Amino acid sequence: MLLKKLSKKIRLTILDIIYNAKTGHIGGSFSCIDILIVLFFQKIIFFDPKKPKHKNRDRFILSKGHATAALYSLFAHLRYISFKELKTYCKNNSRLGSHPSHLVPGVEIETGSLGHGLPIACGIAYAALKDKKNFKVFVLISDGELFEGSVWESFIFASHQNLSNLIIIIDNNNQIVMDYSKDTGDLNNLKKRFSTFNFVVSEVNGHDHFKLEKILRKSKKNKKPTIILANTIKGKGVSFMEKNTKWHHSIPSNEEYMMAKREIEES
Amino acid sequence: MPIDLMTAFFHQLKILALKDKNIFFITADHGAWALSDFKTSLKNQYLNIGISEQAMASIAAGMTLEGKKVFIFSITPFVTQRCFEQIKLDICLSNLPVTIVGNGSSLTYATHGPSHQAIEDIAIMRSLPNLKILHPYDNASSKYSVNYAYKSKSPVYIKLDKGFYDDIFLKPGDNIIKSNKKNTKKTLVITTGVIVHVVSKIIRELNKTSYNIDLFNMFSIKEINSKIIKYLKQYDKVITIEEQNLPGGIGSIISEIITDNNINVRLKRMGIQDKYILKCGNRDWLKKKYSLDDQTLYKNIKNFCNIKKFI
Repeated sequence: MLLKKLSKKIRLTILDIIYNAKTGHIGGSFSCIDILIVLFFQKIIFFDPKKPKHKNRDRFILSKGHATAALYSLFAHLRYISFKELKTYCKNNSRLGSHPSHLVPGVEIETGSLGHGLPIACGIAYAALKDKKNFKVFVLISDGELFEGSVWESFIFASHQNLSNLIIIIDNNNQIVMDYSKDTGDLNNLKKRFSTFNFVVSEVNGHDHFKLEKILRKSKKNKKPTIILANTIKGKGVSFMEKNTKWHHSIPSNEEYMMAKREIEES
Repeated sequence: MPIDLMTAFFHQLKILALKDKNIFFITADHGAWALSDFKTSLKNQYLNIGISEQAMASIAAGMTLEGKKVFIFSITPFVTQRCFEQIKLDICLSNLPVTIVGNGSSLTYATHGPSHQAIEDIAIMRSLPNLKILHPYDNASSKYSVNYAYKSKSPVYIKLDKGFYDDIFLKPGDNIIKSNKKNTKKTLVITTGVIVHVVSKIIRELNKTSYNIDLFNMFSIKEINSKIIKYLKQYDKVITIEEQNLPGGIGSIISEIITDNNINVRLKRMGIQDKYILKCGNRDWLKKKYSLDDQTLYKNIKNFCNIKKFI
């Protein structure tokens, strides 16, 4: 299946589960879903859901944990979990909450509070290098997490320890919960800033599957830690949600749901 | 040559780490004389991560996911409170057996001021599910806490003091010293940490007279020993003594046990009265300011023993 078609299908799934659950984070799920599709569908990440604890699996940490609507929708399309289970998203007694749970195969550890996933990924990568293990550690963070001190502590650590098995992808959607990042703090010239660390730094359109795949495949061979600044649009795919701060975690009304569905289907 | 409580800790850790390459020690740029031997002997299992307590706690969690047995170390407030959320979410939530070692229990860092003193750590750390808390009081309990943490399948917080202390009990753990007097008007004093040495001396002195006081030392703060419930039921009065802020400390724990188990006993909590002292001085000076010096404790224990069970 063409990734573009798949991307549409998964966006519809995200829209459906958030609309049905009446909770979830739609804007950030739409901004990162293309990155997740390339990582998992294009098998950049080696992972077998039948052997979720395979010792050589690549590790993936969703540090921007609020994007489970994207992650779990993707997992359903990958058949890691069933669509029947996906319908339980955020329902009572479900393991599929609005932030990740390690009860779900493919989730290494709980995340949710921002700025935690990267240092955890650093710990995994550091231990793997110590033990000369060959798997890679992927971590998806949001640009909003760059406001957290623990993220910069981790940059210092990853750079100093030369965690060459660590691949950091930044979902750079330029928005935080209430505002645009640029109006809240100085997150300018990120590529230049990252280049002062011992990192391989690259920038890519985070919705361009072809370019994402190319850069991610290349990153697995890097001899230094990798940072990929993936420029994205919060709410991507639904014009009235795009770059609109309302849609960090708003729930579409019936009318908005129908409009969003139509737009994604017709795109 | 006698060794102190911290040296006993690091010697034992070194013994285990020499046998198990998965043991890993991370410090957030906090040293200790006793640590230098470990650092020199086990370079591949030692890391100074820099002044990054938050990252340190999460990195330890990540390493533990990969099978490492990680001990993280810094001055107590920094390794407990600065990175509290990391301990909660990345360690305790997944029940990862990381060991958090806080150096400088209670008022150890008296001269450094409230930033370095550890009087709130029991209150906040005991609020975390899955976490065990150990409070060594001599060399034997210090060594024991290393062994316990090493074998533990859950996270452990070790509230480590420093200094030279005689081994006070026959074996490490929660211990009771009974007066063996037949008098029925008994008082139980419950304490924790190295202050037990002073408290036991005071009780010995009082028991030489008409008083009948037993002593219970809490080594394991979080896991409530079922024996303590049995003990509490045997006394008219109970006193808790801690070099900690009272809200959330061991006095609170005992108070909760008394309430939850409907125990008919009168309780007096002695500790820091929910305040900071900003002027500096050594540990003994500060303990006096907080009414925790030997003389004040002696007087207060005596006074409480003399009052009626209920007014």
